[in-house]
Amino acid sequence: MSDYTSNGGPKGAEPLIDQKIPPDDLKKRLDAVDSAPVESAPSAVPYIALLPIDPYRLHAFWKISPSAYTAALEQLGDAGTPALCIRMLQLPGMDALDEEAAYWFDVEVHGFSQSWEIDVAEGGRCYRAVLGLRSPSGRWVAVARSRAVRTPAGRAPDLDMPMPPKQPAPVFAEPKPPLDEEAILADVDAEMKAASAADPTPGASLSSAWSAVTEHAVDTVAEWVIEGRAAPGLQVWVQHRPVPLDGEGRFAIRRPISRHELDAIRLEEGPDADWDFDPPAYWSASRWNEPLFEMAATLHLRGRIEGVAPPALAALGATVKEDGTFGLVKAVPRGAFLPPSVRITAHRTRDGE
Amino acid sequence: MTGSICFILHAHLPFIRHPEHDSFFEERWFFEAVMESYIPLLDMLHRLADERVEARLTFSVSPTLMTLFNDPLMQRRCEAYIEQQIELAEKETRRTQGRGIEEQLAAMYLRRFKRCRDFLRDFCRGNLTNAFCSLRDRGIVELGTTAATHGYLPLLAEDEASVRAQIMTGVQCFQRFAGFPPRFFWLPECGYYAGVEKFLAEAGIETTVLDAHGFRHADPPPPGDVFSPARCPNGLTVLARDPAAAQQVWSADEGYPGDPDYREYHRDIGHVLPEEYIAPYILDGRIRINTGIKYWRVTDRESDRKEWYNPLRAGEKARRHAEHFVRMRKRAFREHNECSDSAPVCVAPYDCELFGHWWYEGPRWLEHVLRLTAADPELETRAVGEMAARRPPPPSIRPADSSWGQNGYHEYWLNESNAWCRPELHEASERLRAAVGRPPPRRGSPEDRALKQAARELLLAQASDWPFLIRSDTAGRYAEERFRKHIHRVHWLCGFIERNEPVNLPGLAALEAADNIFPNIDCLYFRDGRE
Repeated sequence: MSDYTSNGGPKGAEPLIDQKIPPDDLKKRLDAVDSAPVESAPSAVPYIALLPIDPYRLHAFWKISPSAYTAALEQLGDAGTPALCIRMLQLPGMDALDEEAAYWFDVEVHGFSQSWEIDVAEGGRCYRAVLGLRSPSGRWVAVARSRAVRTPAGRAPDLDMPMPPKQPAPVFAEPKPPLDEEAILADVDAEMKAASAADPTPGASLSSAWSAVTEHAVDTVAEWVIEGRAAPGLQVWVQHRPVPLDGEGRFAIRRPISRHELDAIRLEEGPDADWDFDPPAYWSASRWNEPLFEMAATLHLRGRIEGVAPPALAALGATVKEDGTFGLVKAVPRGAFLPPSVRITAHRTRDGE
Repeated sequence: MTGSICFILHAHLPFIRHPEHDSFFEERWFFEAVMESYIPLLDMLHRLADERVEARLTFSVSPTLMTLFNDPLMQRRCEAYIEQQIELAEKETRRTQGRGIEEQLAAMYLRRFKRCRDFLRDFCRGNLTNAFCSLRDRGIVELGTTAATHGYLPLLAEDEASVRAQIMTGVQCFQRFAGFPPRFFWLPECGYYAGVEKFLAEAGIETTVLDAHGFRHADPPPPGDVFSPARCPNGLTVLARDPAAAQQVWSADEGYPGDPDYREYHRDIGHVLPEEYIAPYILDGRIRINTGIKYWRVTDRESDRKEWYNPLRAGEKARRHAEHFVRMRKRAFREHNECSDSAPVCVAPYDCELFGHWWYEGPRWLEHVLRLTAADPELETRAVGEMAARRPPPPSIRPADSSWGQNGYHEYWLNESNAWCRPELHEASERLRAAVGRPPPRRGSPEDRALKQAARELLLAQASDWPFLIRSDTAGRYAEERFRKHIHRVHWLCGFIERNEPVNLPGLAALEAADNIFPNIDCLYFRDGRE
């Protein structure tokens, strides 16, 4: 560690600013600064700024001084009460002129508000916001223009954020016997063996079966079959499209598998629901201990083998007929990887029905 | 070789330093992170280096955190905090004498705290920068950095001068402390917007990382999906976070840290022992806070019933989870290799503070993964920066705007709880820009110092931490107060310049003493059109 100084990082680092002021004096001085009145910036040029939130939402904020507002009113010179509007221009590119806008629409904003959230129909597009006054007859006076911004393209998987800390409930400490290392390790071994049984070894895994089949078979069809039931009042969505539910909330979907699609499935949680379930093998989502929906997923592989059947197929219990055709149905264990094309979400319907 | 794993540990804390108080509660975030995350990780990596384990990984250390590492006041306070922790652990060993597991756990904490003290005092001489740089010299760690105060760049993009100032100041600060320029830059919150690569290249950055959908919605999407590096049109190498690797560690529902055998973060003796006993170690002797000593395991996440923590069992779980992680990566690599000729790269970035602080067994898990990978002929670990030198050059793409925040974009930092920050930032930066645009004051004059301090205050106000904390309502009041104070200070300082009035020197000196980050700040970055 000789290349580094004990204070201030590697040799040669410049010293930190070190104003030596006693803490009490420093606190008084800081309090004085932080409570001193400050005037707003002398220039009162109106502005509007536009920020994308996600592919379909933008946030606009603005400031317009009374004098700028009055000047715009005078310029409008029209009868009736004008509306303060944000004119959203969809532009062909970031450098495009306002006149090149593919289309525009007005968002009428409340007179006292200074920010607005704006929904747009398409992601990955360029927009500019123009703040202005519009008269009842449709005359328009622009007050401020934002920079052009581009909304993000596409949608994203929702990944967990770190959980915020929660307050624990008090417990009472009780003396316990000392640790028995051997018993603990034997216990962990047994538990992990059980877990390994649910998570097949590579030689008999779903992905290895898939690999084996695609290497040796022809006319292969692979798909996920997912059957489940949603709690009352919930709607199930696959890739943002609603899935038809029967009267009891049951649904069944089939999705083809792309061999390149491997990803972790996400089950979005919805609001509370009161519901019981009894499936044999299932995925489920719950909130506050109450289930929202359940589903059982099975992997279906069908095709025809040319030549000798690969051992992985037999290891998984597939039956291969004399003509080489085979079929394999395999329950997917909870925690297995499913492709994003079967991303399933559940939402409560707007009217709660 | 089947594929490579690039671990990135992003170490960041906001600049929380209050010399105007003898002690300040939020400074504990730094002390806790030092004791529970940084030292255990650095200690473990030095051990791997001693054993010549073939491991490589990347740390991005934020400029705010590096400044805290190097700050004499924070070093003294951190040492005092560790001594207090040792004192509490000693008291606990006496209290728990003859109480079986409890006694063993108290002894475990005492050993651990003493080890922390020795590591920081004797090995690092009080400054963790030394341990980071030493690991870099030993070839096991690549060091990179991030934006000056961790400003969330996609939402600063309407003011490109601020984006440039965040990047350039961050890079300069890192270089000042580390002694070499960074080649890897962590985009705060993995927040990418089209155009930021221009400023990264200007700062000499070669590599950065995006979230997976930044690749999947790119134009065109790279052929290797998230497993292959790509290039922005300006040559910046970009890699994508592997969502499966992220999920296994990050997910609150399915991730490893929620395992019933792991230590429970939320139950701490600071909340459960009698007040008269624990008073010296909680806030003002009466407000219960975490002390860092926790004797219970997760047990059942849905229940308040918690069983005793068993470090042996947890350690074994960490090993098994490491094996599972490695097995999953190999499986994904084999799938990739079936359809691609390019060697796959799994990029696995995590917040450094997850390891040890939130997930107590995290450093142990990482050690197992690094050892397993080093011993596996099919796998290797790599530093992210090594990907920039890959041949043939990766395909060129235009990545999509993205972040690793909730729902993948910017809403966590711009929503109804914190949207009020945006006009405040906009107006403060406009005001500073106008002040900086005036004829430059004499170097070292009060006006020059005032402009530089105003630039520091604006950068501090731009930290992504404040809107994040306001949104999550964890320390939201503190975050709001900090944000408002920095904005106020920008206006207060710029007022003297605009009015051509003598600067209030006692006030200026107080701000320089309190917010003493970036001593060599170049406030001209805030001026429009500076190249």
